[in-house]
Amino acid sequence: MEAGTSDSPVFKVVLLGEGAVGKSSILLRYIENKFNNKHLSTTQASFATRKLTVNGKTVELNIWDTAGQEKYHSLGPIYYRGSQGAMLIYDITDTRSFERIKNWVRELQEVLKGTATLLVVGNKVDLDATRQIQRETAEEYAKSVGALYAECSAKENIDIDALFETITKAMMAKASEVSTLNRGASLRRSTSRRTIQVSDDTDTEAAPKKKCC
Amino acid sequence: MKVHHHQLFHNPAEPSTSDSNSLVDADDLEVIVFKDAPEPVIMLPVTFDLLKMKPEDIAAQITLEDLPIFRNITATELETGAWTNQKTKYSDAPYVTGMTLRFNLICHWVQREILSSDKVAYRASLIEYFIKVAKKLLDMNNIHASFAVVSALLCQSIFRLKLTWNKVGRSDKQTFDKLTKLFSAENNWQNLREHTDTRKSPCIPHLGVYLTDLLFVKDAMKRRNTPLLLGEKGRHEMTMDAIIRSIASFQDSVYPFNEDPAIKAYLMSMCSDRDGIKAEAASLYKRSLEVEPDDPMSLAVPSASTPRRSSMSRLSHFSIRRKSSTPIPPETPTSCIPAHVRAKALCASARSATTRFVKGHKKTRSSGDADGCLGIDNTAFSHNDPEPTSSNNAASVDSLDHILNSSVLPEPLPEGNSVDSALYRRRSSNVCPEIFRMLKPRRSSSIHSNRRSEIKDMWYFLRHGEFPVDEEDQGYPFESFPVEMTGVLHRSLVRTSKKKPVLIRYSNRMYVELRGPFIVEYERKTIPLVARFPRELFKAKPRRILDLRINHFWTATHADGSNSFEMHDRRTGCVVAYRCDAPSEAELWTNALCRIMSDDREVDEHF
Repeated sequence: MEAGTSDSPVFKVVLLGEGAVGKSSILLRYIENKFNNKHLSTTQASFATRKLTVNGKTVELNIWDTAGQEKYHSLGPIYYRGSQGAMLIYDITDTRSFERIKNWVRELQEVLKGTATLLVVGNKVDLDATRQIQRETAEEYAKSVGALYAECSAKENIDIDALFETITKAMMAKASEVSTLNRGASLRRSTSRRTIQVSDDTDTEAAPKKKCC
Repeated sequence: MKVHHHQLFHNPAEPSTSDSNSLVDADDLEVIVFKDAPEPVIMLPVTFDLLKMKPEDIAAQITLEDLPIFRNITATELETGAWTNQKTKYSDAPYVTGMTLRFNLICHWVQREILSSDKVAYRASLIEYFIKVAKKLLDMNNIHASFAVVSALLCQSIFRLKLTWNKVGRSDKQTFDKLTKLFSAENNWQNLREHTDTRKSPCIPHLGVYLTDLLFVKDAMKRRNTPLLLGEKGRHEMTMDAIIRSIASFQDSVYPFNEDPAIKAYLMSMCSDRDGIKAEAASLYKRSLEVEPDDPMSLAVPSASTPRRSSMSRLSHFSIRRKSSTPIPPETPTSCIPAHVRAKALCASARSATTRFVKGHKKTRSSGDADGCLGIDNTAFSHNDPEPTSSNNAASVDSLDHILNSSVLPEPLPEGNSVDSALYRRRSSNVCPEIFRMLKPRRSSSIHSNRRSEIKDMWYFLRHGEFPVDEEDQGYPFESFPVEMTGVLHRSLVRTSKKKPVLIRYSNRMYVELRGPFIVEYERKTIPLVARFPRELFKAKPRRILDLRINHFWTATHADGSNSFEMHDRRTGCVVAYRCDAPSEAELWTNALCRIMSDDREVDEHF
């Protein structure tokens, strides 16, 4: 596996959503060339690693697809624990799949407690004529739960790359936020240690002086 | 582990044909269940205790139920991806969905069993038990069910139970860690795939991974650009065939287990239909929050799993909160109360909020007289806000001293506090201005029934978010006054208000409290169950309340050397005598009463 071999940061992204909303189609479309051109063993199907350069930085995405296993209710936690991003995919022509998204969001928020970037994705925009969920409704919902929103079509290859770019950018922003926080904390710790050392010195020096005087 | 295998194979000599026969029967049964037909009624033995069953026996029975469904999965079901079609999946892919349902059933059953107990230790032993079951299932190559049990333990409703997990034994935890590693999705289920590939029949693999792969390959086939020649098989078709073949290679599995009717009946009872499963997921999580709240320290709601505190203290927290939230009687609109009174009321509520956890000093509040009526440790009294709302703030500090040392009679309450008396009058206006207000004796006046009613209130609170409004529970007017003096006295009516002399007979001992201008009497309990303190011998609800400010015709008299004192109503001529244990005590009472009554009237003293 390529994961972890390079120094570029690795992000884990899970694709969640009702069956038949096109999760695997999105993933397939995204990694299409690889899938078609190389011999593919079963161990590599439904799981993709892809390097991506965003804002001049190279990151590696590990994309996990839950397709086909949606009905295994309890598998969710196994997938999404430890992931930095989650794509919640629904079918814009299927109200039920949108309602299912809400359950996922609730679950993710309970378990990951805001550590993951959520991206709500409306798939099948090529079927705009039979659209059931209006873009505004979905956008509003995504905003209310602090998630990003995007629409795409795996069939027509509309905005698929943008999808992964969007979530990667958001994850990078979150990661840099965390790392700056950590760096700040570590900096502060180191400086404080230094100052303590200095003050200790002055104290030990000052104390006897005072006594002498 | 091999040893276990041999132990489990109860009857290795049994011909496999008879086994498959029995499996066909079981299979039919399963199908009936899956079609949501009425479940066959099998009575569960009353004495059935899961923890007393051997994990391997449970595992064997689970496997026997899984196997027929797995064996019946057809290549067509897998090839067409029929299980993903929301509408037709049950008819087109009955066995693939059947396996999924089995997985979910086991998963829910495990969660339900663990969450059924309020006791942390019991839950922990159930988790240990299920880890053992999962291990046994894996040993008998029922990867599917083993995964179901492990994923149940990984579900948020179980996974978050920190207290419970802390009590799980180390060796079981290690086993669990190994199992989670095996069932980790890392590298696209690499460990699980490798484990499955090395298994030999009999084995029930986890279907989910295959399903994902199949769907993926199927999607990839759809996308192919170049059409295939007739009879030619593309790469993806080959892949798909390989997947289906590897599933099929396990389908000839036969387990030489015998059916155990008791366990079977038990496992049948865990079944619920599909809709039930969906509904249950939420309720399981709710239940999980119930047995172990998110942050046990920050929640006032008691739970069985928070570190043990006596139910008493928990309830008193509740009752104090409840009282302090309504420092001003609700019948008076806040606007008509002067601002500083409101502020004071807020102060009082803030104070009572801060004293919420200081239970200790409450005990000293009513500390005693000669009788040693110390420490009111009574839930009914805990909501008598001891801070004097109607005295000014400076006095409140003093009054605390009084409370701490009530054997010394306190200074009379500050006079001429017009705001306070206005507030007070409003409070007392709902007290009937009769001489002695006879309260309807309540049936539920013992501490225990009182606590029960508090529990009832609590449930009401949990359900409705507010406490039930009980008029009598709005608080007595005397509650805002500190207890100045307490004693166990005998009471006797010497002459009624109609000037009729009555037979002088002292009553049973009463618990009498002097609170500001109120004399409060409590009757003895019929059967005192808890009597660590003298106070607990008496009922929580007062029997009589005498308001000396309204009924200011009363005078207290005391004859030297007598151990009783009398209360006279100069207007009606009613005389009530109280007998103390010692003359000095009677003197103390008389003095205290006189001081109160001298507030705004002359005092008759007969020495």
